Amino acid sequence: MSEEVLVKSCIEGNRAAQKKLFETYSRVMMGLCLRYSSSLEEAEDLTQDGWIKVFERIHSYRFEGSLEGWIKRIMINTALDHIRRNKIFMQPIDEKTEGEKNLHSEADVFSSLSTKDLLSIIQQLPTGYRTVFNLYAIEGFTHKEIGAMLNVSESTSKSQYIRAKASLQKMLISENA
Amino acid sequence: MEKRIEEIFKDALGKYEADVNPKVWNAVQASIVTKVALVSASTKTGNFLSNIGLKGTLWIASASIVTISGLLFVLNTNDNNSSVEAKKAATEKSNNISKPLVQKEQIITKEESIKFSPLNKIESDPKSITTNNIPLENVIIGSSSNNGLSKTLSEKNEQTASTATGSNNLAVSEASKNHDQEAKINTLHEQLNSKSNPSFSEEPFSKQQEPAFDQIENYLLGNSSINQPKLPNIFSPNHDGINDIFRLYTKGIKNLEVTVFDKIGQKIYHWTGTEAGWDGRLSNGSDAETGTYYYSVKAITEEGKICIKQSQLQLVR
Repeated sequence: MSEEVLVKSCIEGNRAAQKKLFETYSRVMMGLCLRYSSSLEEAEDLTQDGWIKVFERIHSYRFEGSLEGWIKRIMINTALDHIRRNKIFMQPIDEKTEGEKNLHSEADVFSSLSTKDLLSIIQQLPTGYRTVFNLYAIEGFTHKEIGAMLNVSESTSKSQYIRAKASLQKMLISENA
Repeated sequence: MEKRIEEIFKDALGKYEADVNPKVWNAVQASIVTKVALVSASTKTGNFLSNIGLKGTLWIASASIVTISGLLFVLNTNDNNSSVEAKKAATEKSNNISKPLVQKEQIITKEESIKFSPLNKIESDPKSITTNNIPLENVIIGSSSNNGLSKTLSEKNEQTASTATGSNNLAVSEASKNHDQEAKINTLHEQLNSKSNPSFSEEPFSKQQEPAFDQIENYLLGNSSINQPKLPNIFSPNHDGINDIFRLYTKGIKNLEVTVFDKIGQKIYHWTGTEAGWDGRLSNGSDAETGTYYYSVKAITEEGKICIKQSQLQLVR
């Protein structure tokens, strides 16, 4: 079944097609949701809400760009909605005092960690840091885009990102100590 | 070679997959089923309404006045004037007509209880309500807050029943002839609005429905002295300083709540207050595309009347 046929069957309400779509992408989306949450339960809530939105809006998918990307975007927006709802405040910081000093000196130690370890490190980050780190480092959005998505300034997004990286470094040191 | 922190995380987690708890699919599936059922029910009624056209709509409109007033009479123990025949007739009609209408109203108030919650808060401030508007506002607040409570109940029918009785009870508690009239018009108004609500039909504001709606509205309101928000239908957010922000003229309007929808009925912007407006940007900061949008307005006039209107909006750059 091609992707287009699959989507159209989903719009018609074909249960088998809906399940197929879910099964095709649910593992990737669960992985994504885990990155945006601090716990498995939170990630499951996210992924559930996200999928409900996917099926609600599937009729608006225009077959432009990849279906996976479209679903991913819905998941990310769902994650951001959850964050907004929980009112995670992000404070801008003075960038001059916290430069990029030695931020990747420990990177080789990170590279020896397993994926699971990296995930649990990300999950331990404060929500604001985790979100910005995900959006910038993994999803590849610009700080300008992130600022608009989270309704904060571009510089807030930048400073949050720098802090997120500093946090990652600290967590690594404390883990090794 | 040393990799940067972000690259390590991206490489490891960018394509990360994880097991999905089977209960997630069960919940998703359950949600799709309920939604489909709700939408098809409302589309059916919607088609029925548009098929029979203006005359039929007017008939249904007047019938629903009778129905609702009938229910009010039935429940109003203080009203000694209502005859047994009137009760009978009203009950018969309500059996025939009120079911789909009430269900639709219930759906729309559910939407509203989320969309319009800030306004409801304002309305519940006793100082801002003038005496002759109490029933009007009670009907609205009653049905939406009641809905908020019953939203947790999964049984659709239970919701419908409780919403209907709840709003009627509230209206009855303050009933007088004058108030009844307002409550009726308002409830009818809501029902008419629900016909063109973007969330529940494929073509939310089709051209056939608009004139009919306006005619009925003028007929019902009798061009009374209600201040209504004037509704612009075009704006050009191209930063040339002319008509860059979509605002409503708010003379005589105390508070406003505006929601903008795109062509497929998705909510894309929302604001409250008379000063705010829309600059043509989406929530992710990108510019909205040129084209047709729809918006719904809920306004409270300085006299405390509530006015709900919907209209089209052309965005050009």
